[in-house]
Amino acid sequence: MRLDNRGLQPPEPMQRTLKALEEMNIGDKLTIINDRKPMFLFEELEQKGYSYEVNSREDGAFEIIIIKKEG
Amino acid sequence: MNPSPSTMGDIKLTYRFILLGIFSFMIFNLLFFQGTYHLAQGIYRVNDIWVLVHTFILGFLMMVVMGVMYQLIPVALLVSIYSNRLSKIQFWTYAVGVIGLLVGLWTVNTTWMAFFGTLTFTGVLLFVLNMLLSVKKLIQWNAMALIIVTAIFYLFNTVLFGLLLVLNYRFAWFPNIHDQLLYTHILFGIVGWLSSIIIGFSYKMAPMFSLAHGYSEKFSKWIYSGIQLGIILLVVGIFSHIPFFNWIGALFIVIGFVLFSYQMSEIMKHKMKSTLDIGFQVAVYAVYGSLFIIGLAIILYMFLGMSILLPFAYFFIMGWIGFSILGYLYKIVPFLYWTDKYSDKVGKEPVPMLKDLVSEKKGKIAFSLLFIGLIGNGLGIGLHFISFIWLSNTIYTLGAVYYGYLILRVFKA
Repeated sequence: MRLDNRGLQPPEPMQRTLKALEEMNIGDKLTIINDRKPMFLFEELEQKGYSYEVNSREDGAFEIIIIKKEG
Repeated sequence: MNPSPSTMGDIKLTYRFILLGIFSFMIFNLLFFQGTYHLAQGIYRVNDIWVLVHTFILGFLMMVVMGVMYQLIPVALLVSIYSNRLSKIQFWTYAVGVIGLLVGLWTVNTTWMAFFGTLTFTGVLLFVLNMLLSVKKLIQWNAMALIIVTAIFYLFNTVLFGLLLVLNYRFAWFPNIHDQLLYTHILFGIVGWLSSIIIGFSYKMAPMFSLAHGYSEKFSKWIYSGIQLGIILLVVGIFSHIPFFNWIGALFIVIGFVLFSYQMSEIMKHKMKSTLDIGFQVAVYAVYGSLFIIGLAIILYMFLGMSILLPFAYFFIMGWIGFSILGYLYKIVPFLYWTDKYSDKVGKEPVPMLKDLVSEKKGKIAFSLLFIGLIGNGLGIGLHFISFIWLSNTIYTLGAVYYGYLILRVFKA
């Protein structure tokens, strides 16, 4: 799944991401594109069993790839 | 549309605001011991109490709020700060103004009060301009912008009325309405500016810090309108001397606070984060606490009348507003520092997590001491018990020093 959160005011990007995270199954991949890095989400992702990778994009936005891990 | 880091507020300047704020907070605690005698007597219209209140509000709260707003406005509204150069000039004008004003109030030197009061006013005016010119860049006007602009409008009027008050001392321009100016100054500062800006930013920060989504915001219009209408009616009441307006105005503000507490509990019900950080927890309790303070004040007023005013004011300013700011600051400082230092590296190399920058357990100790001190001080003021205030303010001060130390330590990480 892919979510483009650019141009949205906080906390909307985070809230859309949270909603998408809830719908993920183990092994699913979610790609989000944000104007800003979701700092507060990073804290929780590891605890809740997601891995993530952050890439900078040419337009100054960030692409974050989140994968739901087993267990 | 997205502000790049260069158009964000100057982070070093924000640190400077916060450091000077924390320093003022320490001075405030020392001054509190000095003010105990008057506070216990229920006397508050004397110079040492003015100094006390303004060291806390202008020195601590305003410094911290202005410094943090330079960072949060770009994040919250997706606009860039109009001018970082102006921010710097604003900082120095304001800082020198406040220090001089406090000395002037302390020594009851009306010339100093007038001169540095004007400088403080100018410092705030530059902040107001910088903010309004930043918000002007908004492409689409929204509720958050309206809340912030309204709060800034009251900030401007608070310092304007404050300036009129000190000029009135110096030149006696309007001796007949001095009291009305004072009450309006207090109302605008406490409700129109500080309470409103905390409520406004809570809409953004509470869901971010608790990872909440899917809650209703249907009352947000009523919270805003209730408080606005309440302020206007109270101003009419203050100047017309018709108590009816005061009662109905106060009622509308109370409705605003009740609905805001409900809003906060809605967000908390929908949070995804299992354990909230201590700073944010404190800010949430401060919201519920505000309701408790208001409710208790209404009940006690029926039995004790206006004698509850001073302890109520203490709890409202130091409890609701003070703990909101202390709480949010404990969460925001690590966030700002972390963003500044590590945000380029996250997801690429191992970096410390936000929670590694500040200790939850130590924070709990600091906030517990502050809370015990707060309750003790308020009770001591209400019961006119001077030695009790000495004891409780010692506890408060210990908490404050520990709190200040924990905040400063973030910058060492």
